[in-house]
Amino acid sequence: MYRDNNKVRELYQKLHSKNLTRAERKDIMEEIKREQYRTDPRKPISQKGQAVCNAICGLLLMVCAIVNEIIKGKALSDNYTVYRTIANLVFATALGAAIVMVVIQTRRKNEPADELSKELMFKATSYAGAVPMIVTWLVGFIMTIISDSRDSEFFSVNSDDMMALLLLMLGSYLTAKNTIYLWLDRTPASDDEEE
Amino acid sequence: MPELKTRLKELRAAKNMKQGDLAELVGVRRETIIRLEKGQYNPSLKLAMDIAAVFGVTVEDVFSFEE
Repeated sequence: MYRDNNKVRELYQKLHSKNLTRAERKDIMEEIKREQYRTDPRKPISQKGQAVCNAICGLLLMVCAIVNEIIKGKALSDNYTVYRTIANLVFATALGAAIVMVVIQTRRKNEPADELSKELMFKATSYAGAVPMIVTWLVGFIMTIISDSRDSEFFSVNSDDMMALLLLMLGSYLTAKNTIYLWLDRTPASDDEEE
Repeated sequence: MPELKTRLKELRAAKNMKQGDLAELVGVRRETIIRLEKGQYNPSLKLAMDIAAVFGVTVEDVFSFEE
């Protein structure tokens, strides 16, 4: 079994040694991951592939939240059953697609991050941190200005809306982070003819 | 600002080694090697030393900074 090869076992034994520094432990853990990746017979999924999957998952969360809110708004004023059914179908489709993305990632061996990809992901995370806040502000802005709901006596926010907002924030963060990572990690054209 | 110069490509060619092979030996992705060769990425000291060790030279033989 690829997880039980001798080198990995040796590295795990080394890891249990008590006189290791944190940096040494980190190095050993990374070496274990690389060795497992090298000997794993499954098809690989690159760092970029993982980022694409995560970005799609984020996008699906956003689609879920937005469609659910739009349809819910229509359902209150119109044919409840039809719109609710559409909302459930959209939700089930998005959830199914997200599960497919997760399954793709678990069925394949994930390429471990190296120092460049970690640095780029860190950069992408710091840039993407502002996105959920902007999205939240935008939602508030749209609700206040477009729907003219500030002084409405019928205006209410329920747990559904909070859940949709949370999904929107999470989805926008995931999508932004992974898209920025993909942008930063563009490979410069190599004049090597290999691979 | 000093610019990172590297002899990585030259050393790799001398050893008839592909970017992917070097990447696997030092535990990084091929993209990282491409960026290093193009001088677009400053490696950590550990990676620089690992690369130098692969070619059996010193870090200064592989990487240098030029004004």
